[in-house]
Amino acid sequence: MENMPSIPSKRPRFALSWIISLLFYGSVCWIIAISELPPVSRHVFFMRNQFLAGNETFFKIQDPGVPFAIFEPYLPHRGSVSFLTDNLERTTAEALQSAQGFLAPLLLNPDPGESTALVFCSQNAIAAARMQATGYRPIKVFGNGKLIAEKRS
Amino acid sequence: MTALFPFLIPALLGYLTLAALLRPTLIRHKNLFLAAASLPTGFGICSAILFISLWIAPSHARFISFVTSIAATLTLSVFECLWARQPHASSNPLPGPKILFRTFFLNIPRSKGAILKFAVQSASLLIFLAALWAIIQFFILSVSTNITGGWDARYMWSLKAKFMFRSSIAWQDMFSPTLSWSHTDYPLLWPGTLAWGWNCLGHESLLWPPLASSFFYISCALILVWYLTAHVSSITGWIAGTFFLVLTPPLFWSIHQYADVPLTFFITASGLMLVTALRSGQTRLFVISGLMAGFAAWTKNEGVLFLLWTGILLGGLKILKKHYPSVTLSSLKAFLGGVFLPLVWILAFKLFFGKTGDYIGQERSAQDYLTLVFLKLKNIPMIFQAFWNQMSGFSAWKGLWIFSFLACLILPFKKRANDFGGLLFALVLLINLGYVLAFLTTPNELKWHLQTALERLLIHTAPLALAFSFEILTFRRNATPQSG
Repeated sequence: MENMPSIPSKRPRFALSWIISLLFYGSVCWIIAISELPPVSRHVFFMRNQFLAGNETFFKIQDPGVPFAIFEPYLPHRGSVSFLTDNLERTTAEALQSAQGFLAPLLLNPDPGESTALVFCSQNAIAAARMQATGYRPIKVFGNGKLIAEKRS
Repeated sequence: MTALFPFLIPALLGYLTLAALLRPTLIRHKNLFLAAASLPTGFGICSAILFISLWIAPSHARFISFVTSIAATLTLSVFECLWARQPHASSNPLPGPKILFRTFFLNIPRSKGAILKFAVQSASLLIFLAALWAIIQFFILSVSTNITGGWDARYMWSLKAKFMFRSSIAWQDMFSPTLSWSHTDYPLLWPGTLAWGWNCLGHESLLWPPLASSFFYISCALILVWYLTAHVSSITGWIAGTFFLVLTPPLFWSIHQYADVPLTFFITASGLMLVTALRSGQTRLFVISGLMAGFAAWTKNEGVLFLLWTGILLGGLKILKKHYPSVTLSSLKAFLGGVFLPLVWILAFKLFFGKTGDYIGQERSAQDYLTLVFLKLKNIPMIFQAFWNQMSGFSAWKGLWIFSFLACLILPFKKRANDFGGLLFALVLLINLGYVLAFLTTPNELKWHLQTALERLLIHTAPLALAFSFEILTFRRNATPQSG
């Protein structure tokens, strides 16, 4: 009896592994079958066509840094300029990061210590108050609180 | 079509590099592995060449990086052609058309069983291709509405790439403390890939980043298909690949062009190749695993953590060599050999450029971190709760982590000598343990950090968990240990 072959004892184990394997494959196939992608709106198909056509100009509007294009010709290509906004923390961060992406490799410093400043406020009055508080004077005005300023000597 | 041009050199360079490393090995399904890993490897090499060119010869960096990449591709092509002419080449054919010919035309099923198997294989392949087609359609639709990607893509990765592309003189300004919000210490594989593509195209193409991101995502699925086809069966491989495609988080973060998807690829490729190498004992496979781990560290700081864990695991197995004879000193050396080159440029990057980050380079010492861990132990329940909430979410992970847990329970009953089946789970566990420690010592607000980062961090180990689950719960083994 001690020398009984071990094959019969392996059968339940084999059957169990077969059942687990079957259950696993069944579950995975069921999950794949019920999976679905989120719906998309109709206008997206037009945008997809632009993508497939390689129409890059169409997508430039999606760059959050586009509003800063007006400043580009009047700023140095590299170096560092101060970046002044309405001074609301959230707006500052978003605007600063978008502007940085557009104007790199020029560095935008949120501290008003540089000789030149890019002022990006929502109103002229706020821009004037910010310049007054930080010691800048305007050198190129675009309107609506948007201007380039230099440090008062 | 022009947006596809920058793929050409990385794809060739990656293919030739991996083919040269794989040449004397008996790895199964070489073509599948090469299809999955060639392009990411090429991107890794090209980004490194660009970084080194910018560092050493900034004024001619674009030209030098381009010429070096082409020269490397041509040199490897010549070696490959010379090797193919040698008489012994036919005994171990190069990956390529010969193996494809054998697979499709010489292995025609004849018996009833073989025909049935062939039919199921074909069905699983067709399901994978159908899922891939649907995913690609959805990917293009989604990126069309947000071509610049998520926050990290816009203000971290793409910003670094703009510095690398726009000014070879002022590119180092990206490491300025003024830009500390853009994680100046993060390595440059993904920004380098973006800048490489823009250099090839000659302008900052908005279409290139999503295309490159999609290729990393598809490579993640293919590397899983390769591993499970080689170690379990091709049916399991294609089903596992399809299962990966239906997971929401990897697709979501790939659409948003985060570097987590490239990192996921390199972690997965390294982990799966390591298990293959351990099973077969073929030294060259350790080199490839090391190379992939090196590229993981070149992608994100989390990759450095992965590299450390892998090294510790391999070292541990070497100490226990009585039980694991395939872990020899030469296999350890081979792994380190693969890591060596990426490690050189990563060290150069960390020493000279990206010195300070959220964790390393701050005023905190190692002792401060230890103290912090003990002080913040009260946050452990909150962190584990967040992990549980995330992992148990069916809509995102489709039960993947539950399957892994079940596989872990079954593993002790399925253990075979030198199988290394548990290594994948050990990697999943250790990497996530590292993330728990990172959350514990986070300089940010914990709740915010968990909300914004946890899902992305889980992507890194998801394919490894998936491979582990499929290998354990399907109870099959295709490859002999020696054949890799």
